[in-house]
Amino acid sequence: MIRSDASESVVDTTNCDREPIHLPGAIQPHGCLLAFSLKARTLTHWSSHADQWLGVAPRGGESLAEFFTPTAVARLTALADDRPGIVHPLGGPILRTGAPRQAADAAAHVWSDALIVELEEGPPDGRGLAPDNLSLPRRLSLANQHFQASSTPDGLYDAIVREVREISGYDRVMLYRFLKGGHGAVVGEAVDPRFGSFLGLHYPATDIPQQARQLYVLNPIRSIADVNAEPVVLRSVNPLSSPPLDLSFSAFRAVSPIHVEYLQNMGVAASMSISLVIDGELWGLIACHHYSPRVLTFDRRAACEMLGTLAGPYLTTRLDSEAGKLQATRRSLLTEVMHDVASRPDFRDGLRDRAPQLRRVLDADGVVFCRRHDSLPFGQTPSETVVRAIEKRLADHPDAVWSTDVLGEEFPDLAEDLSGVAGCLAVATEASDLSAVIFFRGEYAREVRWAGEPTKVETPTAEGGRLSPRHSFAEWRDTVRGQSIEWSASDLVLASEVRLALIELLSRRAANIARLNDELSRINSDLSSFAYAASHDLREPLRGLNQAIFLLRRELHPAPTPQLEDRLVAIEQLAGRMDDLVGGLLRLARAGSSDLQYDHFQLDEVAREAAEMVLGRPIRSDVDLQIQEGVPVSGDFLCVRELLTNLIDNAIKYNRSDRIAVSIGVEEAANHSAGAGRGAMVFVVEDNGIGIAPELQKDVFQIFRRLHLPGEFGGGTGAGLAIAKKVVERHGGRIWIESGSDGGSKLLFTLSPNPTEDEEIE
Amino acid sequence: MNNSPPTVFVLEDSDLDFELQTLAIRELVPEARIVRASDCCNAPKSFEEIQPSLIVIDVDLPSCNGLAFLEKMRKSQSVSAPVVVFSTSTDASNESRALSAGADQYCVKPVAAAAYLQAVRSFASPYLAVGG
Repeated sequence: MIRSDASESVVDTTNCDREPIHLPGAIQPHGCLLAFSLKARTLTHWSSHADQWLGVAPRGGESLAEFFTPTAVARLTALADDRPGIVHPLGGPILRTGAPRQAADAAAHVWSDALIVELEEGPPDGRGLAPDNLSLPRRLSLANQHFQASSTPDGLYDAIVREVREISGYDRVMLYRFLKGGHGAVVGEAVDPRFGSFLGLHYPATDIPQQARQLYVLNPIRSIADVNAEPVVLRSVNPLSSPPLDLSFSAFRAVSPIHVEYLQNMGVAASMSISLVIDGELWGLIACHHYSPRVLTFDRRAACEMLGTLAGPYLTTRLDSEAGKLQATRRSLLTEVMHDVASRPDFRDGLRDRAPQLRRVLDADGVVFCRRHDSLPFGQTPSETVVRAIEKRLADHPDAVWSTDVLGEEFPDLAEDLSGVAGCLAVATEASDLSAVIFFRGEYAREVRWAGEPTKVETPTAEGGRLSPRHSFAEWRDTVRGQSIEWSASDLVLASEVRLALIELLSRRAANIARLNDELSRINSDLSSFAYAASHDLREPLRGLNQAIFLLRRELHPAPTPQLEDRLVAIEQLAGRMDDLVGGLLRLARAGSSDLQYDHFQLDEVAREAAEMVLGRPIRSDVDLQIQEGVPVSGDFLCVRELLTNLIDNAIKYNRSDRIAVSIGVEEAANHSAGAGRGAMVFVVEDNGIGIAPELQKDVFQIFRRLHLPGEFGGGTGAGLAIAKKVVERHGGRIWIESGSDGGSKLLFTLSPNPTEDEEIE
Repeated sequence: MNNSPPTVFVLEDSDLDFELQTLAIRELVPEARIVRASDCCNAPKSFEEIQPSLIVIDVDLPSCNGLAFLEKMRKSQSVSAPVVVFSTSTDASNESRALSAGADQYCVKPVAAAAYLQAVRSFASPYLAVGG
């Protein structure tokens, strides 16, 4: 049934698709063909057995009237002006009286400058359409109702083959659907129980050559009444000069010997094919087989053709509706997922929690969210190497979508890394914290049942290969490996929707972050101006307080009672303490407010200045100060000096050693993974002081957090380390404390952002 | 040259500040005459009558800015008396504005009272030499 006829008995693989199968130069013997020149209406071609139908041998050049009744001549004359390719039925006896075999049925059409008249025998099984003897319109109406009643594609396939079998009476009627790559499969079948089922079998693309497919689009019906009958050659008025007659629309077009052989190998004696054309594309065929010769009347052929035409829109509707339903389900799932992810404060958490649903939207086995430096895999996914290779491929793709169902063929070098994944569908989202989303499908190792081994058999000849059809139609199983289930058009549409939804989410999120940042920097600047204003304004009354105490003390000099003297001292000390605190707050506010002036300088230069500010010049003799030389620093000189001043001040102040030792230098960053990443320079100020207990090491950076009594250690303000932290943070660095080697403290800090740390999906 | 005690004009809103300044000036010249205005609006229009030997101006005043007062005074009157701007502000722009408006000195008010007295004594003494 599948192999179409070819005109020449010898073809090879190079010309197979170019065989002029519409010009066979012969017809099947159950009909008679007469062709007339369209202009002169004189006979140009006739089937060689025409004398059996006409009673006399026709001669080229004879006019219509020599063959047909006056009524028939008038009709033929009229239809000669009609459009080509329309096959007109000519009911009733049309041959002139005296013809030995009055054809019961006849048809005529115009094609390629010829008026072609075809005669055939009457129906052997009565006028009606067996078995229910209904008229054609009622039979078609019934079929239409069946088509309408079938709500799924599978139900419709079944209705189509059953209706065609009812009308045609063939032993087997199959619905054959073309798939990707040109091969096809039997998706519906109605068969006489005496014969085995072909349902689900695949047929290779080569079974139907290209030009046969074109012919199926042009002329939707093709029948072979008896595969084993000897074809009847066409004679022509001028065999040497006249072109071969184009039989594209002929009901009796002869069958190519190769196709005959193909059908014979299958055991088929008669066949008919009806094209299913959707949107100008050959979607499939209704293929009919009979295991004994079978001639269909014009009426029945026409009815089958009508069913094929009728089936087209139903197929479109049912397939679209099925795809639409699936798409609607998946789309609403996508909306739900996106809604949930959008409502989460943390984008990454949202994606992580909803990854399984997002996978289901695309019917995928795994999904990877790609970020600039890493990726978040969920479900079945290949290695990071493969993910990056896909991302690179995606970047070269202008549509922002790239898919394949044979990853192994796309990346043959990475076959080891696929982890059972065979298909991917990648969409680019082009944001730094989500550059792409890649969906994966695992290998779908499936068995394809071929109707015989799907390779052409070439029989070697002297001239090259002689193509012969397949001999065996015994089922032949082939296991497909390395492929996933194909990504459908619906998958691609949904992938685009996933992409757009994520891009929208990302941009909304970016806008949100920008807004929060603005707000934060405004609050920060408000805070620092508040701290500045507050500390500045606090100073005024404090100064007044000091002045009042001074004057009071003068006026009460000498103090009338020791108690009053104690009170005065207490007020003085508290005012002094308050003054220190306000001063500290003011310095902290200043450390956080002015713009940084970046400069390059040496550590020893800034550290020496800071030390002299704390320890006087020359440096106090009870302090051993070590400063490492040749260490370049990049930062705001005054700020760094302020920072070191505070650190040195603390090192000296909280120290009970007889000889105070302070060393300032740098250490290898690798030792400090807790506080700094690779590449950052870690500065260290180490002392031999009283140290800070580990559990308190975080607290000391809070403003006014003092770990000791006010009277101890010369009464620090508690602002020093807060100021130090502020300076470090304004440089993008970090500051932390470690216990020193001999009981003292080690203050460590960096002055530049950690280059390996990224704030990405959060 | 007259031998009458020197006059100091003080533009100062804070009573405590004024008291301390008076204390310091009287330590130098016990008989010194001290004229005070607590705001620009009650400062004299003319110094013709007072004939101060020294003018001390605070910057932050209730209804005006001492520096603006200084600028106006230097423009409109031919007061030759030396002017010291005495303020808590450490802002460098205040200092340069004061000097360019014709102040002879800009002095930051120390927080500690003892230092405060010392500061007043040291900026006032050159102008209040007895018999000067």
